[in-house]
Amino acid sequence: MNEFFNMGGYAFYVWSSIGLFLGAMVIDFIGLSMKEKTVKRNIKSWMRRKLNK
Amino acid sequence: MHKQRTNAIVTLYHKLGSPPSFYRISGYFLKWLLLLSIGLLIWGLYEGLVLAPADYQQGDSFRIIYVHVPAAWMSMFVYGIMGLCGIIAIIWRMKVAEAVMMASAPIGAWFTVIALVTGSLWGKPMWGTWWEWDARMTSELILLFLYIGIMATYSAFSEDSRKAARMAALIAVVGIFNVVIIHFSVKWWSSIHQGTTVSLMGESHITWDMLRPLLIMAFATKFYYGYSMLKRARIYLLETESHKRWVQDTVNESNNGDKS
Repeated sequence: MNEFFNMGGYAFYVWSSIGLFLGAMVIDFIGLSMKEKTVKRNIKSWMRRKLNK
Repeated sequence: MHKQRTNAIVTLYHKLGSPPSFYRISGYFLKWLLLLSIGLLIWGLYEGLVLAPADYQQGDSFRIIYVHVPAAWMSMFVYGIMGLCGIIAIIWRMKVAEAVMMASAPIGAWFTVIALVTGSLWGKPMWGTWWEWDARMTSELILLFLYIGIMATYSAFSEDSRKAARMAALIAVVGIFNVVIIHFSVKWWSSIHQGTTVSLMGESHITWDMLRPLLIMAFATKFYYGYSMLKRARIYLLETESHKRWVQDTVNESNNGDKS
């Protein structure tokens, strides 16, 4: 197991690369979910204001 | 009006061209694209990091290939889609093409950043340098600037989304030449970056045990792009058509869905 994490002495380079890759995907994914919620909320509040007029 | 014979493909084209249909149809694919990409990602990384044998020259450092190359492929593939959508957006003013183009930009830029940084992380132990101004790396960096330029142009004209998308489309189309340069850069200017290892047409210079995880990762990133792009395109259409009836119905529906 240690050998696996050590990556033949290249641990820093290999794990930073994998980390960046997965990190970017996760940031993209979370960003998308948040954006969807915000946009839907904004449209809803705009509709409510239009109704109240 | 003259009668026009329609077939399934033409009908699909017109359906996908209309924002409400595009929104509805793409909704069926989102979950599956995400599940497929996560599954393939786990499988590909497991094969690449655990099962694949170490390289006889580069040792375990070569495993960076499993994120570097799929990301680099995607950085060009996504740009190609943007260029194509840019052409459609300019010629036919198709709104869905504008949505797909702008929805591709952030994820394409991410893939470009991953390709550049993992390349740097691979270059340091193998070449002894983080960065070299060779043709492959320089043209990939220009690709990142193109992505950023397209997003910046869009937001600069954000008060009129149609105009903003057309301006962005112009850059996207002109920038296609850079993708060609990236592809041939290792052939035209042989420098520090290694040549083509995997080829669709010719012979690949890699054993199957090493190649298989790479192909799995290539599919994983394609599917994630599919998810990210469709989801972002849907949000784009909601935003730019927010005063239309179908958007208001959609938002209300999802509201009821959240409560139940």
